[in-house]
Amino acid sequence: MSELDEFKATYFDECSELLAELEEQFLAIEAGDKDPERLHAVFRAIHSIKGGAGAFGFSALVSFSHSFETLLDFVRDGRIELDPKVLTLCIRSSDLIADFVAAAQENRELEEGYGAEQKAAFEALCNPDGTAEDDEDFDIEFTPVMAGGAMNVLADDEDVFENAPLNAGTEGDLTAALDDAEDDLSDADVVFAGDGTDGAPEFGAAADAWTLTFTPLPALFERANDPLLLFRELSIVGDSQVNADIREIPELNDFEPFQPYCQWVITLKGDDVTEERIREVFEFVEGDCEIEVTPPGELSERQTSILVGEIGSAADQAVPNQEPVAAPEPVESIAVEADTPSFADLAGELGVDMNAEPEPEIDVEAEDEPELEVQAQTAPVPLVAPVSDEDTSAASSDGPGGLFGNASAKNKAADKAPVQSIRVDLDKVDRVVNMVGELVITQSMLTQQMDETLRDKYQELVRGIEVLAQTTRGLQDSVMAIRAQPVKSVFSRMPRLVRELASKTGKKIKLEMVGENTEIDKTVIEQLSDPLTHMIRNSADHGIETCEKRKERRKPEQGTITLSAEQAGGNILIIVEDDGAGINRERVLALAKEKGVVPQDQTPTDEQIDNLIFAPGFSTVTEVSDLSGRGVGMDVVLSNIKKIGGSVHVRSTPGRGTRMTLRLPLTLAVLDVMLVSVAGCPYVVPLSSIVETIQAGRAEFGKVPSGSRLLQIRGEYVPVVDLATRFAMHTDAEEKNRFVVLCEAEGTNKLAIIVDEIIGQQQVVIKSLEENYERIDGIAGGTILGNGQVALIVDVQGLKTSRVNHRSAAA
Amino acid sequence: MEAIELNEHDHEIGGANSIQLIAFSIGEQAYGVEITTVREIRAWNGATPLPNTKEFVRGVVNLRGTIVPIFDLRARFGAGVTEATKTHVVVVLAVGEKWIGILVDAVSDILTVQKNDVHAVPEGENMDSELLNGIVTHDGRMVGLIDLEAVVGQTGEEV
Repeated sequence: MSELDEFKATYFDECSELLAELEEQFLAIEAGDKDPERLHAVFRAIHSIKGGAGAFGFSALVSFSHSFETLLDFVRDGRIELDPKVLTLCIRSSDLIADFVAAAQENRELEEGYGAEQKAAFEALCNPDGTAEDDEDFDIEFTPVMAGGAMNVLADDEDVFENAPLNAGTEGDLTAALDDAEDDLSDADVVFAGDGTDGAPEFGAAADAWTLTFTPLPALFERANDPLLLFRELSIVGDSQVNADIREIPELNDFEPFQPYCQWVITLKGDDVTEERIREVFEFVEGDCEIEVTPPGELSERQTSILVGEIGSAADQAVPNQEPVAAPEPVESIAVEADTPSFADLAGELGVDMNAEPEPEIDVEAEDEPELEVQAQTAPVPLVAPVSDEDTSAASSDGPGGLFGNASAKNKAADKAPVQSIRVDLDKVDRVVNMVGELVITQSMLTQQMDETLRDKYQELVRGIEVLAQTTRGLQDSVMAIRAQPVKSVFSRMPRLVRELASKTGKKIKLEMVGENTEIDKTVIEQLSDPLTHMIRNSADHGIETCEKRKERRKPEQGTITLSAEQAGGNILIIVEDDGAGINRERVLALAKEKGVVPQDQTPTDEQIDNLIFAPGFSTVTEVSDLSGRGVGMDVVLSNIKKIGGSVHVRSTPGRGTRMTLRLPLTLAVLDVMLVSVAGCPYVVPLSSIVETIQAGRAEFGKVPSGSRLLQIRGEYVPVVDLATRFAMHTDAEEKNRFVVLCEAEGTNKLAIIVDEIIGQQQVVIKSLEENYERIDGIAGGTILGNGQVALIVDVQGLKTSRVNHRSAAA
Repeated sequence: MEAIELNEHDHEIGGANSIQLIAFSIGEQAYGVEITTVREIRAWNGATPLPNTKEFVRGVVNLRGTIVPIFDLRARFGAGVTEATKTHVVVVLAVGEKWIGILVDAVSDILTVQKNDVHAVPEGENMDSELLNGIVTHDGRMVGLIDLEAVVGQTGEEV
């Protein structure tokens, strides 16, 4: 994998997180949550997606997300009301973003004009008058009293940071970001050469305007905030003029794309401008930046120094990024010092400022001050030294503000103590999981070896083994917890599905979700998406009735599908419940008989009939709909769930609704099994699929014309697979001494497996046969027993399907 | 395989022009595999038979936590299934990404042969040229160089 591919992979990882975030936020908004933070979160997510997309050149994604962002921006500052129509558009658009991301990830092109409808809708909304609005001009248009040039600096600088949130995590797209930065710098030069001086007199005579200094800290960009948005918001508070201080931008070689290099001085004119209102704008980024606000007519020394320095430097550094400002020759550094009011001075002034104006976010402890001075003095020209140490580099690149900011950021961090996390390759986790699995098994083997005589003789050893058992269990739980993820990641895709289904079927359906935070193994989660999709589809298509029918039946017009997750012992239960019509048992039974799934003369119980819907090729809807009814679906649910060692159960009340329950193992790494033997070879059968075991001598068998046997048990006939025959092995075991293992815990598809001997229950770690060999029919994998022998895991589902195949081949 | 590459005038043992082989026997016949592919040599200690698979796959064994299939070379050559005892030997080899074991009668020697002493397999039986990469002579005896990819490679086709 090339480096770029790695960055891309990280980007797509992040995208999927961001998309999930989008779903979640929209869901809350749809449910009536008016918290503006939700919209901000949406905005940030879209923005981050766009930023990364730009870096990788996914132009379709960039352009779509840009339009979407524009719309969101309008919504965010209230110019467009978020009515249901707009909300639907937004939700639909976030779905499209997902499509765009998927397309980019799979390296395929979406058809021309994909999303054009939504894009047009955005434009129509943003621009109801129909005056053509160029996307690029947008930034200027809505920041009214900007000096044109300065605004460009802002707009372009935004791009420098646009990638920052993504980059901060990935260190990716360095090149892209640098390219951007290069562009920006050159733009900035041109602008600044003239504009700085133009702006100067105004700043000097700021008698009627509030002045604020805004110095972002790295954290601001890490949290995906965007100064431009703040400035826009400011421009709503009052007439604003923004001047950027770009002196800190180092030469390209030393440029750290994740560092904030700019600070801004903003003047705000307006009747109702108050410090409170200004601070309100920055409330959201409090602690991630430094803000200094001075009322009209006043100018803090710092502000003056920035303004003066800026204007002076603007004149001197007409081409700052070409001028060797950052060259390490002492001569140059002196030049810079003379040029700007010197860092030591600035730092000193800042210290004064802080004492005079104690602001909450600039909360530097007393002992930091001397340190600061020392630093400012020993490193008089921070611009010069490309420092590798993170703290110092942040401090030097940010200038004095950064130094303080760092201290305050640290204090903040200590206050909040945010949950820290690291990204770990899943393979590494799996390796640990496997080792722990081995450990658990070795430990249980040791315990088994402890017979009574040993126990009496070596009490200390026994105690040690008991402690070992406990510790191993604890270790296993902790390791599993690492892999565990909330089911939310799958659940969050379902609202979108329900929306689509509702619009396609014309039914009114609402989805309720419970227990999204229930945690379950990541592998299980990955396997869950398809079955859940099918189940919900089934509920929406077959379960929930049309509005008219529901009215007739005196039910609320809107149907409800409830998706819930809960933990029950070592299992997770995922329940999909609808308040629809329930399963039409007559139809199901008739169809089952017609298709030969159920013998003609048999009368299954209601529960058995309900579970028939999981039979392969079974569908009660006569018309094949676009959504479901193709006869695949529910049997896929069953086989997928079986594959991960779970089971499905359905219960339906006619007219009241259907409830489908998925029972899933908490983890896949360790499997509870029954150890059996066939012709002297060890096999294991997953315990989750065993109903009961019967001695063959006591079981009742019947023969069918093909010669195969059926097990008669409690009025049911269950097909029989003799493992010895099936696996072509010779067994000497007497028939009556053999055992029947009745498999499939739930559902109607039972299967009786005949084995020679039942050895006992134990836990095993699943090993792949395919890793070094290939897949084998009827075998789900291998495992290593306590004595080092390999045992094969019987693939109950596989045995059954191949049995079906045999039969259909014969027919 | 690179074993066929010809280069004369270099007789230095272990040099670039020589290859080292692990030689083993099946019945009277000696065969060899390149030593670099060999991971481990262990005594036959039984294997868990795999159902529904080829006759020459004797089953799987546990090699420090991974499951490794054992190929019975005699059976692979169509000469019947080896009646394995504790004196039989499993040579564990890396073939591409996969690890496999081959069941042979005995491991006899480590041979160093010159690359230009490797003869091509004469035209004739398809099976020979398919399963052998070449032939070398050692102490006047013929040693067949096993093409491991061919031994393992075809297993994926059935089922």
